[in-house]
Amino acid sequence: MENINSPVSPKLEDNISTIQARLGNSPDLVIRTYELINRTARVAAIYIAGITDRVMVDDYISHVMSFQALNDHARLAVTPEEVYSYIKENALSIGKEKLVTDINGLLEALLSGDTVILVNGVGGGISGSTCGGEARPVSEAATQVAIRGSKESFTETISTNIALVRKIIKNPDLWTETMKLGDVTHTDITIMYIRGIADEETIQAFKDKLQEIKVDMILESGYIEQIVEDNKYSPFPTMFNTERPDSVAGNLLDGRIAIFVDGTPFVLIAPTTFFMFFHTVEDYYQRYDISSLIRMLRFVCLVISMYGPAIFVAALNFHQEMIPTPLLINLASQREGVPFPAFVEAVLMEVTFEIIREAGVRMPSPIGQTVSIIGGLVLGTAAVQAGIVSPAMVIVVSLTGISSFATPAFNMALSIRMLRFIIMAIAAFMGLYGIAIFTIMLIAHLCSLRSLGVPYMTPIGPFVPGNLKDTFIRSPQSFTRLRKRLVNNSKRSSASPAGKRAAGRKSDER
Amino acid sequence: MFMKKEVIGPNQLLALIILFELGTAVLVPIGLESGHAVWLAILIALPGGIVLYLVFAHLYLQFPNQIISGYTRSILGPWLGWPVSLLFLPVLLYNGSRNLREAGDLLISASYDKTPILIINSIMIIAVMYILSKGIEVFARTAEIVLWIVIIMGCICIIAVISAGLVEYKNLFPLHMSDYKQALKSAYPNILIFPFGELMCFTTILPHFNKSRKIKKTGIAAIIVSACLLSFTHAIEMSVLGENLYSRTAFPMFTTITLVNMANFIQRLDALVMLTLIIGAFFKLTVYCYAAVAIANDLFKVNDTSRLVVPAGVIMLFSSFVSAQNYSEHMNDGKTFLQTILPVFCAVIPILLLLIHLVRRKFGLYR
Amino acid sequence: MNGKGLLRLIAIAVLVLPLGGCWNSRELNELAVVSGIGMDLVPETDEYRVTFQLVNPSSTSTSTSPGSGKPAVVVVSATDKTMFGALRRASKHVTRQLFFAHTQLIVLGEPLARDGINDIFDIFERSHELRLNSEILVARGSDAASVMKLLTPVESLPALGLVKKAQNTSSVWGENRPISVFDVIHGITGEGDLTINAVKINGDAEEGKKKSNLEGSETLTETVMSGLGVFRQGKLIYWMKDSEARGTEWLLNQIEETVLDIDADDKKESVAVNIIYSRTEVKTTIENGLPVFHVTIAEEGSVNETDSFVDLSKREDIMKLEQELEKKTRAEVMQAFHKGQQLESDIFNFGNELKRTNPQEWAALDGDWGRIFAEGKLDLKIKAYIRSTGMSLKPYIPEGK
Repeated sequence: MENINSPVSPKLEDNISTIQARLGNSPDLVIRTYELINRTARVAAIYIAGITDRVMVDDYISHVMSFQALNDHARLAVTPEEVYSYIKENALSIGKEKLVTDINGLLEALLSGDTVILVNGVGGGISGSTCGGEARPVSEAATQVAIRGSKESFTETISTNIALVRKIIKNPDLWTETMKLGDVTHTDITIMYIRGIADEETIQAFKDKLQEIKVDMILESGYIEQIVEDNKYSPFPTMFNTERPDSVAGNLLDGRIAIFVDGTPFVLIAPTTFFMFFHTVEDYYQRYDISSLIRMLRFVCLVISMYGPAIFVAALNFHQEMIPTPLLINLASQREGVPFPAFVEAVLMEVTFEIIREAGVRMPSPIGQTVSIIGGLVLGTAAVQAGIVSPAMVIVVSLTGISSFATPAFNMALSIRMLRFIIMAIAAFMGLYGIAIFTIMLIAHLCSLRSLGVPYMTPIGPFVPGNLKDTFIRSPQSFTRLRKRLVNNSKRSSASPAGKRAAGRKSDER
Repeated sequence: MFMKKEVIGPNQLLALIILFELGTAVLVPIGLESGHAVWLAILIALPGGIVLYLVFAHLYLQFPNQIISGYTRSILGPWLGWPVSLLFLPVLLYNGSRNLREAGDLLISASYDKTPILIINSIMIIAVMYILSKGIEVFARTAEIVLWIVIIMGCICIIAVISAGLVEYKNLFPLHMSDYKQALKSAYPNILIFPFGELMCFTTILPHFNKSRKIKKTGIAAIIVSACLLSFTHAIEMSVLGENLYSRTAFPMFTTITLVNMANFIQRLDALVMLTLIIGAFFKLTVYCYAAVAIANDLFKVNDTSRLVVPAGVIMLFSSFVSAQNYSEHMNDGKTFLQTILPVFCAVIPILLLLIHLVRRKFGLYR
Repeated sequence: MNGKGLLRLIAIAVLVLPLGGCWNSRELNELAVVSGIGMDLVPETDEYRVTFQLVNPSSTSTSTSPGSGKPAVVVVSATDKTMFGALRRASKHVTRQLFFAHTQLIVLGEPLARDGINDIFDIFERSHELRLNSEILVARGSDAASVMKLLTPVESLPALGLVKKAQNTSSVWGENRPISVFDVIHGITGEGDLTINAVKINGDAEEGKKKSNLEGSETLTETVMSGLGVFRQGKLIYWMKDSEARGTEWLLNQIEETVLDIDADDKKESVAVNIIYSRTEVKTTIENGLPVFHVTIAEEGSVNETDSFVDLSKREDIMKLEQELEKKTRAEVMQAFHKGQQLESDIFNFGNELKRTNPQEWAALDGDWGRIFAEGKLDLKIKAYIRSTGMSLKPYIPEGK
């Protein structure tokens, strides 16, 4: 291994060649050397183009190397130490300056977008934060659209993301803690919480968990989500992700922790409950009655998208007596001539639907629409007219498909879609009995899940009556003053006065 | 994850007791001797049920960390206590398997007439094993959620039956002197033991209860609620079917619901009843299985509870269809079992235990 | 708790589920939906001849492809000693398994009804497919098979059509009431006797089988609801018609809505009163060893038509009409009651009522309830109210014309 860490050598050339060697003579490495003050001082400024902000780099270099004071004295020669300390003082003005003494630290600084200044004859470097480079500006949320409410969404830059939340919660108790994860990628991770609202034990447990992570790479917040999860075999996500700053703020005020990962606009929120995945921030912006109805509609959609085809298949194959007589005759006449059993028909249609959806997602949006039109309209109509599937099945499958889109959280919708196939298969084998038994097992499984120690099915299992006001319905603001009680979060009394004042949205203290 | 003692809260205990009580009792005709006063008989049996529960609760409060086999040994001494506790095992397993059999039989006669009972029962047992392998806490939480589902489905069924105009109050009234007598006769001991006496299983669950102050209140509330629900359901069944049909049908609730026909569209809600039944039987079965596992665990000092779940489940599964050749034999066995063995274990032994305990404590016979 | 155990359980479940393989799974297009069952007796062999009306899904009106001229139903018959035997024997005639959960109608042939019906309904209780709330009719003057074979206009399924006919006339005319298998079993097991709605074929039964019967605007052969069949000890003994039938429904508290033509001062039966509410309360007592039935009928009606002058704006006139209404109702009820006594057949549920409210006295009664009933007395009280007179008060017909 040549990546051995060595202290920064006093010899400038050595350092430069080491850095070049370590970075593999990368062309985006820029090394500018200066010989100053009658060539007595040799100084090098090193940065990586692209991840640094050019203006800042120039500003930084010209600022620290102006040597105004030295020139004023019209000195002819200086010692390296003098230059070094001078630069160090001047670098203060650019901010975030730090000293690096070893090569690894130096490289890390370089790779984070800093500009490092080395002075010949001194075994150390000064790095100043000049990070910048190309970044997507803050734009409208693409995946979690709200009709009413902030249009801002997170970007790929972690500092911007944190700033977006800070702009919403202007409170000293909004604390962040940063760490680097990923042995190769050195990804910046920041966890954010409101001190006094979030449960300290949970935070500590979570931090310990993060510290234990030993992986090469963290490319997206999904990595962390999957590593941290307690029950890795569960189909259900136990962390919520959002790209909306207001959603993060709201959840922080509910005592949850947000995890920012550099390079992705999706911020993780934990601990979560099952029902959170069916809530949107907009529920709080619209009037309570509308929001409550919409929430209930979402739960109806959840049931439809999970059980729709399964119940249809079960009724058609096992429980024909359940179907009202006129409807049964209607269905029977539709199925006359359909060559497949109902289950095969359902699977066929569901898979087709999934294909159309998957194909549409990856396509550029104009083509994506074409795909769905061709797939949905043309294929569906043609299949019915050809007598391969019955029209009723097309209705059921489309209904379930559309219902699955009514789940606001995409990851939850994915889990449900997967389960739909399992339930369908069970329905085809055992009818409603199978569905019922599977449902009990599913509920038991959901009850056994915990997200950072909080039972997943809170507030109905364990039953927390106070929280029910904000689960299936959203009661008017005045009733949701109380901060939602997470089971683990019993230390509400420790909230600082400032925290109390800041708790605005739905969490004013009594 | 650090292991801590599994705890269940008042709401969860409430849900468990209600589901357990409704279980199969809501489905099969109970207290047939009482004729159309069956609903009254259930209410008459209620105070006795509460007293029985108080006996269990009191024993628990005396020995907060022990299940029934534990304090049996403390009270009777290890030499007598151990075999007595051991006797609970077959009773619990057999009674659990009876529930399984009843559920399986209903499913078969209602819809799955061509499916072997082995398959139907083993599917249910698999679910029981799964849920028990998750632990009592998860089980209790599941009960809490499922109770809502049962309530919703029950409401739908009852609303359907009432709004279809099937209820004939004439079938319930008037009550004559002889009816009261018969109601009393069927209430004690039959209805007292089934379903109230069966609460004996909860002696193994109570040590997990986290608010021992509330134990009596919660339990009594749950028993009252479930007795009222039972009484109401059976009253509805009786009023729809009439005494004659009620006494002849194997599953009155099922027959009742098949009569529903609203506007020629909402008819045959059998499936809802079937689901209610599956859930009820399932929870009862699970409680029995848990009780058996807990006692075996305590007696044989097995550290890993989940290792006992599978054998217990398999025993139940096999005894469920080996014990009786057909449903009639099963019912006859049940009658004998209900009249002879069950009262001993559900009422006599716990009451004796309490008395001996009180005597020993009073005279300071504990070391 | 651990993932391994979970995986193991899932594996077991996955292995067991296919074992549960589709024993009871039946595809919809492998089923022949039975919409109606007709039951007849073959007198020579004492066997049941059971006639099934099967839905032909490809030619029902709801089908996507328009019916290919085939009738919407197919009728097959099978003969066996038991009902269930006949059900299964019918498989010789049909390509698909018969499916009974949607059987809406049971028709009993007159010969079978006269022979006795007490022992044919067990299968409806026992089977999970056959439903207890199927409508039941008895064919008047024909066997059940010919009723099942008749095609009906408007409704594509004849059985459904007959059910609707029975329900329709029950709800607005009042000579019938919806009677299901459940009610019949109640009647058989209870004290007293029972009545079943009767249906009659008008016209040539042979013609009615053909689709051509439906092609004209007037159907040559049709089914008509025709009063009630009275069963004593499970045997058909009498056909009740018109006011007798309605009087029976009145005593049974089964009048939903009906029309009575009552007398005005100057013209007989010229005022049509629509009874919109009627309630009958029955109390039975035993006096001097004989039952007395105290029946109170409260009825409310609205005047829907007057063909002679009645000044409906006057209270006195209305009261006069109310009295007429009571008189007319009383006449019908008494007619029904006397017929019942004459037949020694308690079709009015009085026996059950007596037993329910007064079990001791019921037990003390000795002998045949039918005969005791025949000697009973009816204490009838009727209260009639006219609640509305429609959109007009005075009719345009001049007074005293």
